[in-house]
Amino acid sequence: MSRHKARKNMRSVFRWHRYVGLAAVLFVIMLALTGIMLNHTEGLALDQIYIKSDLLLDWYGIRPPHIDTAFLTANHAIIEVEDRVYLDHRPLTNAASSLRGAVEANGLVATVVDDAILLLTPQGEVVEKLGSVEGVPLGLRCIGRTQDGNVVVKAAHGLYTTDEDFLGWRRYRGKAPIVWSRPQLAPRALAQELIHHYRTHILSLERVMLDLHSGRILGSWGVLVVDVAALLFCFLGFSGCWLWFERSRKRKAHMRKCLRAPRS
Amino acid sequence: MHRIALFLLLLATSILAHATQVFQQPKNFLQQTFPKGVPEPEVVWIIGDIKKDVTKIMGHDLDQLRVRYWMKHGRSAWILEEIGKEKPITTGIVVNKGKIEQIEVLIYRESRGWEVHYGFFTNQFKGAELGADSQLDRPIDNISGATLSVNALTKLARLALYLSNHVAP
Repeated sequence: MSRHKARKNMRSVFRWHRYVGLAAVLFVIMLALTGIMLNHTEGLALDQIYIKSDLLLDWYGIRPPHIDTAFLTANHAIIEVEDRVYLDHRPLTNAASSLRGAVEANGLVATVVDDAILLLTPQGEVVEKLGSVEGVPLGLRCIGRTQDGNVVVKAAHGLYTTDEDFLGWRRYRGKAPIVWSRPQLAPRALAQELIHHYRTHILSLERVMLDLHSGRILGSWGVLVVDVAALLFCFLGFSGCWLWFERSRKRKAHMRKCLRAPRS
Repeated sequence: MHRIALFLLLLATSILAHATQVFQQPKNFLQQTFPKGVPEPEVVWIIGDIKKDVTKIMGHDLDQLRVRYWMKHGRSAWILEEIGKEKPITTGIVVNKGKIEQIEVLIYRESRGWEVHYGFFTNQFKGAELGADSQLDRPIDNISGATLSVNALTKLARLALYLSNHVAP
């Protein structure tokens, strides 16, 4: 290869190295920042920070939820919003879905969720989750109270009642009429508040960081863009090494030439 | 034909691996523990200093204000749950005079790590008591591939010992 051609090649690689470097700079900054944040997910509690921006929520297709069921007791509203259950304004951590009723008794709120009864304080703390281990009959359908204050549940094999501490369950053989907890319309203001709470407590900052880092925030095209950026980084690595090696080789050759030249 | 058989075998293995495995119904565990009649349940409230200690033992808030237990002649039975990786492992623990008499995995819901229900693992807990800093007085050997389930059972053993020491010091 002639010296002229070698110099032309080097200039060409240097030009590409510069342009690709400029094109990659935004990706480098974005990947570095998101990478640092993801490395410290727990410390920064990224999974506890939720995105509230309507723009991002819309981008992710997170629409306002539908309120499925609400049960109202004398002092509380127990409301199912998609896969969450709320006691008034507070989401219940132990509850999944399939809210079937709620009654107040002895200062507690007994809420039937799936095949269990959640005993709650008026502040929404879980006293105990009562399931079959605790003697709750299988196939819970609804919960109610008699006029004399006994809690009664309708299960797959009939009616059952409990003691005032909810420690044991036995067949209900009373004749007193039972007022069953029935689904009702949720109070409008509370419903709006819960819809907003639900929507703004789904998408975590960790999810967004992960999607930014992988490019998935732009869908399958975004992943390809990040793939291309990764290839550009590889090119920059190789071209940088090659340019450094070539320059170093030339410098050494020049030094040798200078040393060999006769001194006048 | 062989391919179909292999496919069915793999399918069955896959279903079994993800299914909830009930090794013993909690009710049966209690009847076995108290053959002359299961006592009425009692509760211990997880509040104040107990709450702090329980949170330290479990590594997280227990998320419930009371835990029930069954007690007769100083022996107490506890049915406790802790998540291994994703789903709760229901475990029955019998404590007698501050030592673990028996620990049984009753319901296992995780897809991996079910080996913790075998006697070769649970026998390690027999006679264990609570040492300094609410740790067990002996090391519990791990099972490779079931580390999270082993950790969950170890925490539950510590919790049962701590709570039984509280209700029957």
